[in-house]
Amino acid sequence: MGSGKFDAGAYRAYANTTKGKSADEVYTSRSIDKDLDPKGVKLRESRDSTDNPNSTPIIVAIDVTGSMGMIADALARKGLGTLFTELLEGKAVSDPHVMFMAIGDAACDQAPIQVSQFEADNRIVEQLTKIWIEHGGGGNDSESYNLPWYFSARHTEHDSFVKRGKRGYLFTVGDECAPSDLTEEQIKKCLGYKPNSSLDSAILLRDAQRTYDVYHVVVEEGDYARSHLDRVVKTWSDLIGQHLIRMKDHTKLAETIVSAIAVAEGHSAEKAAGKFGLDVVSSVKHLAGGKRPQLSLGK
Amino acid sequence: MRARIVIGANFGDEGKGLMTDHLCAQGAGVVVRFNGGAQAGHTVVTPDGDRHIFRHFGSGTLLEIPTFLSQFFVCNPILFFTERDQLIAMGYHPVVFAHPECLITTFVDMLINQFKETKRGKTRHGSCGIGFHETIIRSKIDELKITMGDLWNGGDHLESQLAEICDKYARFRIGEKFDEPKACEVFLDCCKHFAECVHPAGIGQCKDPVFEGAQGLLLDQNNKEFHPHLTHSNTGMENVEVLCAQAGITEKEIYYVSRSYLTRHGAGPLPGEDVTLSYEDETNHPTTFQGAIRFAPLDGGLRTRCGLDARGNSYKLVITHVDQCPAKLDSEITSHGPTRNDVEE
Repeated sequence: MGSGKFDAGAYRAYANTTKGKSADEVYTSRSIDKDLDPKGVKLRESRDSTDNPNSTPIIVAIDVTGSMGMIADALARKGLGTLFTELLEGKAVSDPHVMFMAIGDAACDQAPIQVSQFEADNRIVEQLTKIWIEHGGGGNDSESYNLPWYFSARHTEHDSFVKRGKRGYLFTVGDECAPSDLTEEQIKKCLGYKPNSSLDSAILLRDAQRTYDVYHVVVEEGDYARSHLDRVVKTWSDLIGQHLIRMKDHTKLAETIVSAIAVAEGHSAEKAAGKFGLDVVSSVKHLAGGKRPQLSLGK
Repeated sequence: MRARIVIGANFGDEGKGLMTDHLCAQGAGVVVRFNGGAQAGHTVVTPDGDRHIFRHFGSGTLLEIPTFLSQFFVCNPILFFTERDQLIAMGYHPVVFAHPECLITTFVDMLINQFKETKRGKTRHGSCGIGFHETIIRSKIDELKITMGDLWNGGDHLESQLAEICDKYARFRIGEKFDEPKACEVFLDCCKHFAECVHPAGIGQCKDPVFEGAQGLLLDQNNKEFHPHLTHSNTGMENVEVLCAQAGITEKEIYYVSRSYLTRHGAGPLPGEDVTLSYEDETNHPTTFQGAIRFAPLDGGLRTRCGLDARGNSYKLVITHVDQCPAKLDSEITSHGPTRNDVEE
């Protein structure tokens, strides 16, 4: 996993072939693709290699329920390319290894979580076409944004932490409230085995934070967020505190994530996001200085 | 700088994991393993209900406190990864540092250990079968000694050393050789990965350490009363004093841990053994190599034993499992349940 370097040219060629097609045309799946099915996966690994000696894992998990389908589309056709190109050319992090997840609702969807491999090049783009946009979600007010936390804590491992004590990045993106918990049955449905007990979101978040800096991006244009924005923002800031990012324009997703990472790596919000406009600067400004210490022998 | 030290007062299974976790919850920089190896079995149960038996990792791991394996610890890469997988499945990603002089156990040491203990039949020593003692014996031969530092330096001689251990050395120890090229290959890979997952350090870099002892004072290698049913290490303050001197630590607070009754797991005498006694024990299931756990009332020598080992340092006695059996002895600290919240000072 995670060998090869990203080729911006290959990405552009891909983007042109899919230009003008709707989300449903790009993602032709009608059920979960076996390559993205997390059932039976023990560990997805991001390892250093000769090409990538200082790998940095970055997981982006997008909500693909009803109102959010367009975000997956925008992310695949424009956003992810920008994300890769910026990360590589801007040198915000060393040797990025990107993993994708697609999130649904564990309470009612057929495929509440889909998971790619960690990739260091445009193979991630091929995997994107396999995402099944179920357009699910239900009458509850949240989606299963905690499934990526569960999966990344228990089923991923990366050399960045193992060898260098440096956490990776994990972003969830969506428009609904933070979920309160995950039940044993929901985990069994997604991953094929039953854990000992249900788990609160706060515990799942804590577990993921051991090896990732975890962020959540609220898509303010989403159908749910437009009518319940205060409620959405409150549930998220209660759970994740400073690591909540509010995003006004969904087409700026890649720019927002690139900027958030750059700020976490020590750049000022103005330097990191200035070229993307004031909205992006104000989305990430508050993230400065919140970095937790890395691997050491004492406090 | 202060150091807190947890030491088992008896034959092991006293509650060292519980006490280490309790001290770490009050704040700590690192947990230092200062004797033994992966044959330890220190149980920690969190108030959230997570439960793990620590062998190669410090008992502060569930609180995200890193582990330092000092030069007195014997590393076992095979068991390290078995345990690490268990921890990852629970959502924990332990951080481990080690001293370059730590000895490395090979799969051959484990095989020789199990072979010899099985042959002993009724005269078993009470071994766990993980090759700890065999590693120390083999390491007395310079050419066959493997250390953590060797692995970090690329392990260039490892392949030829392993070939020698499988062949000549195995024949010398047990009269037959191991012809297992595939096992050697897997073990070499395992060592390579081990060198990446464990980071070099020295005791001088450890801030606010909690020293976590393994086994107990009655199993110390110098406790001739119970020979040969002992462990090949210093279970009390001896190694801790060396490490504290190296790190310039003068302020030492020792916690001697005992259950409110005596236990023994594995072969060897248990003074006052009472076959009618039985207490529930989730960690100590009967095993092929150690049989079932046995019980006795707490002996009168406990305080004397701790006082002698403390060598003038201040210490506290910790009595655990008082919910199962009332303590007949005064102590500074008691525990009436399995989690850090059940400890009362």
